[in-house]
Amino acid sequence: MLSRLWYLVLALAVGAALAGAFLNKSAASREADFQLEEQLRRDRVEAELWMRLDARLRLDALASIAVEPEVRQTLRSSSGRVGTPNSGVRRRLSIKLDALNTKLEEGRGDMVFAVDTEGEVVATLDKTSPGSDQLGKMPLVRDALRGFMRDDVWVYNDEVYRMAARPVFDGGRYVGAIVHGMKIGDDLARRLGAKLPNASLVFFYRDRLIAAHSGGANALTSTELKSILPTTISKMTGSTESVEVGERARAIVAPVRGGAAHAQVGYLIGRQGSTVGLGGLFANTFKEDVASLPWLVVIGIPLLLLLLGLALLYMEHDKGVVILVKSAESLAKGEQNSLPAGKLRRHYRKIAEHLNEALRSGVGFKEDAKQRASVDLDQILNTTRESADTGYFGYPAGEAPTAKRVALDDEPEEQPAPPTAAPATAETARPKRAPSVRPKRASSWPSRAPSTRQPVAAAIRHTDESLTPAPDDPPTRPNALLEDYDGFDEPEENTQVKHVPQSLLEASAPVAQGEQTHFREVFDQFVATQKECGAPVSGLTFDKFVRKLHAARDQVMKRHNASQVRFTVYVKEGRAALKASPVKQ
Amino acid sequence: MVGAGCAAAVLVAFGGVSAESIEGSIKASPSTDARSDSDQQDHYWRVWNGALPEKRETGSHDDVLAVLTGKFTGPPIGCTFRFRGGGLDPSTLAARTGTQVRVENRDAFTHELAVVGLAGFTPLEAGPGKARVISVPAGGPWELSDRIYGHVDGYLHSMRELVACASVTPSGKFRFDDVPPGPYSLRVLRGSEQVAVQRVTVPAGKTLQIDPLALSKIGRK
Repeated sequence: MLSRLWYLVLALAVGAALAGAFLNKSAASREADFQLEEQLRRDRVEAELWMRLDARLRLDALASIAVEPEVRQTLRSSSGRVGTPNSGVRRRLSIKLDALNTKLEEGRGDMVFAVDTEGEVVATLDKTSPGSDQLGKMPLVRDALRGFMRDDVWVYNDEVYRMAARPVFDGGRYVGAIVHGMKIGDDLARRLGAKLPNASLVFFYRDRLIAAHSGGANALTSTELKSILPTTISKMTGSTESVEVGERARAIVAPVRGGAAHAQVGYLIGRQGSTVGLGGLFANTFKEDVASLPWLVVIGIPLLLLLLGLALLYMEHDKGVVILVKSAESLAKGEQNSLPAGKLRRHYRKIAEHLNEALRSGVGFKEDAKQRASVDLDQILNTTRESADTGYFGYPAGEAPTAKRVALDDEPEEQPAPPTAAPATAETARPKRAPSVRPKRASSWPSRAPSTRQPVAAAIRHTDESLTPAPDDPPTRPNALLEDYDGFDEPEENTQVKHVPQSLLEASAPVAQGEQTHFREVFDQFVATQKECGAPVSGLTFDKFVRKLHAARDQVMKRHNASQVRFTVYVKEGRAALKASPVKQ
Repeated sequence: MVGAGCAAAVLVAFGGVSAESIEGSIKASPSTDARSDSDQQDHYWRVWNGALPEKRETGSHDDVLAVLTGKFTGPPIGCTFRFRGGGLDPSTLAARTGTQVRVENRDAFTHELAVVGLAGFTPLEAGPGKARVISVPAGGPWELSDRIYGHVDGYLHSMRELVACASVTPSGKFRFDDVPPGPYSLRVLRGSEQVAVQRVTVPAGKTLQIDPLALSKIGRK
């Protein structure tokens, strides 16, 4: 449960981390947008300040024209009169204006007017201008004629001009004004753009760009800025919010400061914002930021949590698995007879309890029941061989019901009871094993496949080919007897000495007879059994038979420290077979 | 004026009526357009020159128009309007209902006249020397503006019995020429309002002198 809780905590932590990352991304995006918006506002303020300064410089530059004696005298002579001076005077003043304008160099105007007090244009740079222009109702000119220096922006014949005007006075009175205009073009945009690094700038008149400057290769293009003109023009007045141009790019719009704003003349400043993705969160991380991280917390807490999680995992799972593995090994080795359910928890405890229950009930594989019967028989025989040290017939030496006990015990009630599950297969009945913790195991044996063994006390099984042993056949090898008895020459054939029921032993054990007589009886029984089974007995001589019996007898006696060995004949798999039972004095 | 003269000639020829003049004046002080002074968005700098004191604005009556209305079927006399000096001259226009009025551009630069609320009139640029013609239906007055120059404004009045128009000089005087003798109503329009009205009868053979008209502060539309 704790480990599951840990997984929940881990999932929550991951979820929180992801949520935090995305929240940070959103916050960073908002912050970037905010910064971009602020930057654009600062750009607009910067642009306004620059244009304000530029207007002042142009106003100051006009002083050189306004104080020119020829200008003053011509305007004085023109003022207060109906109509304008003659064309000759006007032409001379126009030439003078052109010369004075040229001296302004960078401040040279694209159009310059000299107007009298009535607002009538006396001289101009424009040679094609009509002869009787009037500008008196233009606010810029009207203010200049009243004595003010003022700037403005005009739309003049589809072009946009930054205007400046200052009064001309002569003889202690106002005699007119000089009006100066510089066309808004790419040069202005470039000069202004130089003050706004990485920003793109365009001036527009309605839906037409009249000047453009790009802030660099990665900056917005004039085309991109133009694309938002219809949207921005409606927000031009009174709005300080920027407009989204494209992906992570924004622009801010402002009207020009002047009368041309009425004609939708303004400028756009655009900037490309920085991309903020999950990876971009660390894009602006500095080394100082990394160095200032609380590494003890950043590393220590996850490590602590990792250790806690591993501990919980061990306590709940690994520990139970280890106990199960070790217990299973011990169980397989017979060192214990059940799984320690008490040491386990939850599911592992249930598993152990169920397995223990299964062990007690002797549950096996149903599909292998038939095979298991024979296997078990073979295992018993093999185990008997392998565990010959403790009991040649598969029983521990101390527990094996020896022939002595079987044959000489006068107290039948103390004899081990024959297997209760094998009444019909008395020949397979074996002495009851020592008290087992698995009492039910014995009860499962009757379910085994029926044995082909016949209920006879002793039988010898052999083949025709092996009835006559080779001269060099090892004479005294118990295993040979047991395993090779079937013809005495074939090691793969087993002759097993199994437990002999007490009644058979009593009947067949000729205590008073000699060993030779016993061998003769065994031989006779073996031959008879062979014949009964229909097996051939030609070639089987008593001498050979006895040699084998001797060898087997010696081996059994040696192993079990027995004084005698009794052989019984029984039928196994349609042939006669022998069983050897050690008899202890 | 040429049209008015022709009309008077036609009247004289076919009606045997002489064309006379009306001279008058208004007692209102010239208006000063201080809009640009109060609009801080129009400039970065508006500073006194430091040498001479500020020159007082002489003012004008560009926004005042004197009109005669009465039983007269000829073309309106003297009702011509123009852009000049960067604005409408005069800024108050009048036209007979159902006729057209021309607004000439006598400036060296383009104007784009707009009539607010007048259906069928599309603002278009009119270059130097060009004119815009406005078909005047019944109703009004309509506000006039210039889509290029924000300082330009005016009003257009539609008058069913418009006879003649006369602009008012900065000194407040006006004069109707070539007016057929007969009874008329002399009206003074300023902006969207009629600020004075007086019944006059133009005698034959001499110029009618009218006493200065006092303009009401609150006009009647």
